[in-house]
Amino acid sequence: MARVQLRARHDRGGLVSGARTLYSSPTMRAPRTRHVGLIDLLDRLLAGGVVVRGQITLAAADIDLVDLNLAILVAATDKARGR
Amino acid sequence: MSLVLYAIADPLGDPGQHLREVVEGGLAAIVGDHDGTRLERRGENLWRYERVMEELMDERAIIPARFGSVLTDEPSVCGLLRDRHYELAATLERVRGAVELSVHAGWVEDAATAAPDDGTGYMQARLAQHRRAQEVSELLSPLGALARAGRRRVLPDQSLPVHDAYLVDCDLVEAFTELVHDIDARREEIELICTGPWPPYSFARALDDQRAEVAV
Repeated sequence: MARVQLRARHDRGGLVSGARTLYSSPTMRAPRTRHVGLIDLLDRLLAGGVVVRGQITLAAADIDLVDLNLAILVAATDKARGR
Repeated sequence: MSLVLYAIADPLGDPGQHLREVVEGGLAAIVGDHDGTRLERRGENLWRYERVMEELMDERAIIPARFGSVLTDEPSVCGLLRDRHYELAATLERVRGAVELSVHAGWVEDAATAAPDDGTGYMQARLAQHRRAQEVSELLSPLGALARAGRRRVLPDQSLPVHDAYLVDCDLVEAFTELVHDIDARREEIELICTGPWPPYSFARALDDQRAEVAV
């Protein structure tokens, strides 16, 4: 089933993504809106999405490759480290 | 060679982008080969992952997987699709035809407000922040009527403490954005920013999980 093409692609330093600022208050400056866009990306990729339980390997910078039998919340690790 | 899981989706055939489908019980897992090295959370990797997800989302309904989900082999992918079939199929139906929009809301701080220098001042500042967050939340309530679902978090962020995620029908994205604009125009002291459309990352978990997670 084809989906409606909603997005124009937006270049982010050579990497292209369709998610963008749809609206921001006129008082907000560009660096701040970009910052929010990055927060949204990190929030979604690292704390959202379906979490796989069972035999999985989560690999991320600063964390050794670990085989786990439990669901691991990457974001929780980040919070615990105060990042 | 292990497999990176990108999304759970309808089986539609070759997803392109050097990915493939693993199909079980009417659901497809979109996976890519993984050479066993680290999936580092560097900016470019994250944007690349997001881009793959958006390409997929343009052609089919998807439940995005969390970044860094790696399964050992195809049988374990099939096991996932089998063991959680009911939950995944229900979630896929829930997000079908919709995208995720993010709204951050806050208020312009009074420049005269000094940083609290004692315990009482701190508690008063916290209370004031809580009241304002409630006020902002009420202002945003019409957005909920345009969305299939919504999640709210109020974070100790000085400038934009209210973080909302909404699951919005594709054909209502424009109306939603206009409503954000209207709400912003009503009150001078509030600030709003809306980003998207995102794949439905915040609505990828079973309903029960989400209820348990709501923290305002």
